[in-house]
Amino acid sequence: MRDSRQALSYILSILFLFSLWWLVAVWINNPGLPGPLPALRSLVKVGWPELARHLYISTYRVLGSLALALIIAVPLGLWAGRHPAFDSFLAPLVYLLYPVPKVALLPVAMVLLGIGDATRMLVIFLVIVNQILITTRDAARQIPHQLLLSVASLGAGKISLYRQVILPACLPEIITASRISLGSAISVLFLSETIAGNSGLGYFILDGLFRADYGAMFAGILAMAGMGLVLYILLNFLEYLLCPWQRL
Amino acid sequence: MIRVFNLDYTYYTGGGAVPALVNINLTVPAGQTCVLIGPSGCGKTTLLYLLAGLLQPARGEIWIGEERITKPRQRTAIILQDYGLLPWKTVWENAALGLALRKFTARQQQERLQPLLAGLGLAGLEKRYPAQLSGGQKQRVAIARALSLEPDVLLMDEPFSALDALTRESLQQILVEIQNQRRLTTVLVTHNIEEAVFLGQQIIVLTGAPGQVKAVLANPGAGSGDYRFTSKFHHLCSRVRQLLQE
Repeated sequence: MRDSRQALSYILSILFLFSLWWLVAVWINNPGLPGPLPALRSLVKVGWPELARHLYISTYRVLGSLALALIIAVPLGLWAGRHPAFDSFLAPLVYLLYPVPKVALLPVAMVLLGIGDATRMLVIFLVIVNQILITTRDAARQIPHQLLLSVASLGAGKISLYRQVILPACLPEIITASRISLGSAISVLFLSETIAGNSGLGYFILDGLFRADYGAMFAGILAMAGMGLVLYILLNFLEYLLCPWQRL
Repeated sequence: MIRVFNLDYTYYTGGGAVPALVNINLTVPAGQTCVLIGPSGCGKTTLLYLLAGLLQPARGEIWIGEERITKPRQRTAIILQDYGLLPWKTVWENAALGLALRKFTARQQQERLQPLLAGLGLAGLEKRYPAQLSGGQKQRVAIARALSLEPDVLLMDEPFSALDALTRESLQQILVEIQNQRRLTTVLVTHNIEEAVFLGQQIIVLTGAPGQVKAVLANPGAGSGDYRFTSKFHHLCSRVRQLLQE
């Protein structure tokens, strides 16, 4: 009952967004903004093997940089959250670097690392790592001292405390941070793919623009939106699997 | 037997040193229940943490049996105020945590826990999460977890303070039964006078901050079924109240 109502509300919002798009397209009446139906049609007509290749590369870049950010930021965040001395070293670094526009480092990364995947993934990583680090640290800080004491009194050592208490306590926030980071990651991905290189959805979209092939361009945009949506749903599913107590 | 000699404990805050406990001496004979009662902030929880080896005294010594306490001890179980259950673990996983941490096999965990949970009226709730339990049920899971390690010393911090009156009394009864079966040396912290007098064969009244022992009262009738309705019980209650108010 609840599930079907939820499904309905999703379908309704998709319809709402598409009608909005349709209205704007009709109003503007410019080949640069086709309505939803022509756009979907172009998604069917476009050379799929080509689009799939770019979609794969983009997905790989986003997931790779998200994984890298998690591998580095989660342990650091957990450690900083539980060890004020380490945090007092880490926090100023994070705060100083947070407002620096990491995207501006893209040219530097290209000079140093070339125009391959590493450059784009490094910049995406730099943009999202802070977010995950700060969220994880704040979550680790808020674990009630009593909970740690009581598990310690059962004979838990340091490693067990991290595994049994600190990591699971922060897991919901880590997943939320990943979800939020996903949006920034895809934006930066697009940007990084439009500069140099010849692969990824960003390239595909821009290539469509330059060839004035608006059908291909919109197919690329829809593919990118679809990628974001699927990854977002995957993260929700991950939360469903890993945090069953959150659903109570 | 628990023995505490000339114990001091000092907190260090931003503003400097705050003495929390001063010159505490006490003895709890093996198998007895000792209740610590005092105004809030008198350091009774701190004293419990010290007994558990979770904190180190500034001065003085704590002995349990022939062992001097400087770190958590294998056979001391402690139940903290909020029960210390992990929200992401089920009743079974929470109750089995101590055994799992000590590398008991799944089968050994099963053998120890099943009768314990059944005895505490938790059979059938194994797959629930703490958020799906009542306060009394949570407290019983915490008790099961503590008893699963077959302790000889049980330390409890305000174990029943968040419960309604009837649940509280039924849990006090459970505690008395456990006590009769297992003869644990128990130290229980409370601010509830009737609870102190019903459960404590020895009642230690602490003064306000910094905590010092104000009085040690013997209470041999504690724990017997209809003790609550005797005049002795009420007499002792008013004596403790008087001591706390002085």
